[in-house]
Amino acid sequence: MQILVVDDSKAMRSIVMRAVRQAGFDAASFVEAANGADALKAIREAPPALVLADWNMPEMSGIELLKALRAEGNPIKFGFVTSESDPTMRDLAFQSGASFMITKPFTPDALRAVLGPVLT
Amino acid sequence: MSLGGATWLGDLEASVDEIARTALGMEGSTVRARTDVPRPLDVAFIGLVGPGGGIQIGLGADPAGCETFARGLLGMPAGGEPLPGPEIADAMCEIINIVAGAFKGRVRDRASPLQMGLPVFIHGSVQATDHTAVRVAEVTIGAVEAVVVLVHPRAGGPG
Repeated sequence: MQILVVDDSKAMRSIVMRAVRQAGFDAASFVEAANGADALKAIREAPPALVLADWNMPEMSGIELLKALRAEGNPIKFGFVTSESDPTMRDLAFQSGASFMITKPFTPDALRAVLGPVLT
Repeated sequence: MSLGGATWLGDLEASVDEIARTALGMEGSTVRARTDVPRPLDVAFIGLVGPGGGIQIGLGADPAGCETFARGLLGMPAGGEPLPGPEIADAMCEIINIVAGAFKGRVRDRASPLQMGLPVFIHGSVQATDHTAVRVAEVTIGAVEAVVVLVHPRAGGPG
């Protein structure tokens, strides 16, 4: 099971990957992208099982990435890992096709709770 | 609704305290002093923009303090191999990003929606102008002497 982690912060990408493993998804492998545009290219070339994306990123934001994927008819599983928690943004995420939105900082338990229904 | 700089700074101090505990694994913060005169340090800033204008919020410390914060975010013990400068800068930017999320949540009921920008990491001190004011809280987070910085329109804030 491959997970694409999209965040402009290398530190946060490593934190997310570690937390996924700590959440019990030891078999997961990871690919990384630093913004939505790079992620879109990576998904077109080799679709992962899940995309975990930040919201605010340079070049292409997480929500722009999600909308681009859905506009292409790509139903890939997609979740946000972001410092944003605004209800209107949360609504936009779900209306755009996100499976979940988890707010930083988060614990492995919180990640397990949202990843479980998506990955099992 | 427009809020004064002192109110915004209080919300910012509380947000930093929350994130120090939850994301950095550190003790909470203690405010030692408040001033309008920032001193030159390494500071991560992020902009928050609302209908009435924008503010910048920042968290800074000396290089050793920033490395302590970075190690806290990354879950790394103190005293290991020194972190490279770019990794410290990246981690500090992520920390202020998370602080900004907490800050937005705190002011949500009292201010218009704020849009978050992208963080930057600088060395130096921000300068007040005719239109913008600077408020600084000198804080202690764990063993680190840090600063929490707010740059806001003199008329109030973005709300």
